[in-house]
Amino acid sequence: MGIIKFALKMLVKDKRKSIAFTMTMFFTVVTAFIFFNIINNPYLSDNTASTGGASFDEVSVPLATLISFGIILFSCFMLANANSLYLSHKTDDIAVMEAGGATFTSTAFYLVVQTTIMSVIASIPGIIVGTFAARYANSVMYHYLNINANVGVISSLAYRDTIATILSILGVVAILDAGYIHRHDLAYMLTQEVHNDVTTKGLYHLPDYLYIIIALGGLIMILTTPYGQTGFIFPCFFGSLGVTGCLFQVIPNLIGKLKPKIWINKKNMLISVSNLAYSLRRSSMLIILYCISTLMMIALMITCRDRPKEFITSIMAYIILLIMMSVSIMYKYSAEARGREKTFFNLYKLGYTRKQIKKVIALEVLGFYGLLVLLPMIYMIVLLYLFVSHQAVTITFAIVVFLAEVLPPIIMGIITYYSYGSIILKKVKGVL
Amino acid sequence: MSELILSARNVVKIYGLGTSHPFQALTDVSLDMYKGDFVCVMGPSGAGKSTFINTLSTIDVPTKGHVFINNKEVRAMSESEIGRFRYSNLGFIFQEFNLLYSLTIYENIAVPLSLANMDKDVIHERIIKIAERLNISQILHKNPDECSGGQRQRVAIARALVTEPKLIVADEPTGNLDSKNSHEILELFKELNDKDGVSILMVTHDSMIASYSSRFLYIKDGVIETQIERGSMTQNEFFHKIVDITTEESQNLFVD
Repeated sequence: MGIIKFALKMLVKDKRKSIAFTMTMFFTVVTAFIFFNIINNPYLSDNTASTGGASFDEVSVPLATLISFGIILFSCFMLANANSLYLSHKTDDIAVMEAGGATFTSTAFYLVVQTTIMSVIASIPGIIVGTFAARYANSVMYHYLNINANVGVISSLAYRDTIATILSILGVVAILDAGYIHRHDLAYMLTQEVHNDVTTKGLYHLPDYLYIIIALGGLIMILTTPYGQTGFIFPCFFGSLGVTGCLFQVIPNLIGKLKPKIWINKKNMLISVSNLAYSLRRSSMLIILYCISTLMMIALMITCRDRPKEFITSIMAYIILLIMMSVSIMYKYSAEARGREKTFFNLYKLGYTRKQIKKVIALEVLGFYGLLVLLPMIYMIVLLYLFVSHQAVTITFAIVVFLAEVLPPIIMGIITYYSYGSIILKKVKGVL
Repeated sequence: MSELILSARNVVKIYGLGTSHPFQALTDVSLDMYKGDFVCVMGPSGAGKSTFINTLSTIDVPTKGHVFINNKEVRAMSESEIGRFRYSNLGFIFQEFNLLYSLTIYENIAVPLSLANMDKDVIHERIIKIAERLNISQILHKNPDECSGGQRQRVAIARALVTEPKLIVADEPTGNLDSKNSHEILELFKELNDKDGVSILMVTHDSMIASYSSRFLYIKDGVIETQIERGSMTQNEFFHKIVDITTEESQNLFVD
């Protein structure tokens, strides 16, 4: 069987494994299209603000363009993350190919064929949806900026730049795929899918107390810094590092210490909090991205309060970022759930009923999304309070930001609970 | 007469009912297990051994026939009744250890006790006691992935024994262990059976391991083909008898 045929066949057979990558690619294309349209829109661009110079210091780029580029780069980064998740699910295929004598080139080609097909499948609807979303974005921005123009006119440069981005992404993904195969040998590929170890490899770890100090330090900096709309970006960045550390390290460690004392005789909580600690550790990268990006975006958004174009661009960037992060976290969680079928089946064998298993899942999901929302929310509430009290934003705006921060994780939490539950309960058939 | 723990009557198990390829894994199987029985099940791969013990131990439901536990029909029991029965009467041990990787060794052993709503101090006391007996006290704070295969199986056994069950259900418990660890675990099973009167229902591929039992079942194509009692036989004699049964088919293939 040729490599292309084999790649196609396996792609069809393992549809579930490709969902996260295809969906992230779709969101990346939609995001890229919307923001390239903003960058290239003659009614929205501020050509006088862009100046070139002989040295780097003389180059000036409008903030709205920087925000747009930033969000496009961020979505590309999320795609790279989805690709690494995809690769970790393809180790069996790679192992079979390598064991059968496939060369490095043919194995890499196999993955490139699959990622290209998924990218094409995601990009076509991505551009179509992006076109409609860009029209909507135009109408919101024109309305807010009092621009009288046809919202249906989409810059042809948006198509060109989006297609160029897709091609660049494909190139980068091909390099990442080849690098993955080059770095890992056959023995690793054969055992990778059954590895169950909890690691946050590649992350620099600080002691627990330092994360708490940093998280509190950021808050103290915000509260003690003289009020100024641009003055909160650094404290937010600094504090969000502490918040992420609390989420993926301090809280799991605390759970580990409290379990034998508090929850050892609570049948549902014992399993829920153990799985929660496990999930928090395994989602460390997404938690870092979520906390830093959302807190930074709130600070940035309010910094741009007096510049309408930047302000509306940053609001859009913030909403898209929230949706993208929530969806990514949900997919990561679903992938985790698939790996826990056996764990829950074991619980069933030990005597847990389906009702108890559902409760364990509900408590775990509630804990995960609750913590994910709650810890950054402390910062958000303080920030919004300061801005409202200094009349930088209205109470209505603060409530909208609050809801925008809270609603996507709540919705994703509900979806996660049902998808997680259905995956597990399918396995745990129960005695009827 | 000993107490009847479990009784299976004319059990049939069919997978894929309603599909174009239903598969009958068990055909008209019956078995009575009394307190103190040590029953070993052998048979070729795909013969229905695991289905047999899963059906008898309430993990799976028979398509036809009846399984009685404590004189109560399994199909007439509610899910919570079955759950209660499992954690208070059965101890499961499997080839893959089936430990929960998000829990420490201590917490893994605690799970059936927390299901039984026991007090924290009682849980602690029982875990310490069983850990000492199985020589795993030094690894209680570790995670399962930090332990060797032999240690993990001891933990699985500790979890199965900590509720002081009436029946241990073991599916290839030594399948992933070296001969030294296998022998130690079988000695432990024998001790539990002889001294504590715990009944054991075990599936194995190894005739030597099967020779530790008091009753031997040979399953083939979903049917109990042969059943022998050890009775007054020595372990050596019983072992040879088992080898004769399990290799009969292979021996018949020789022309000379």
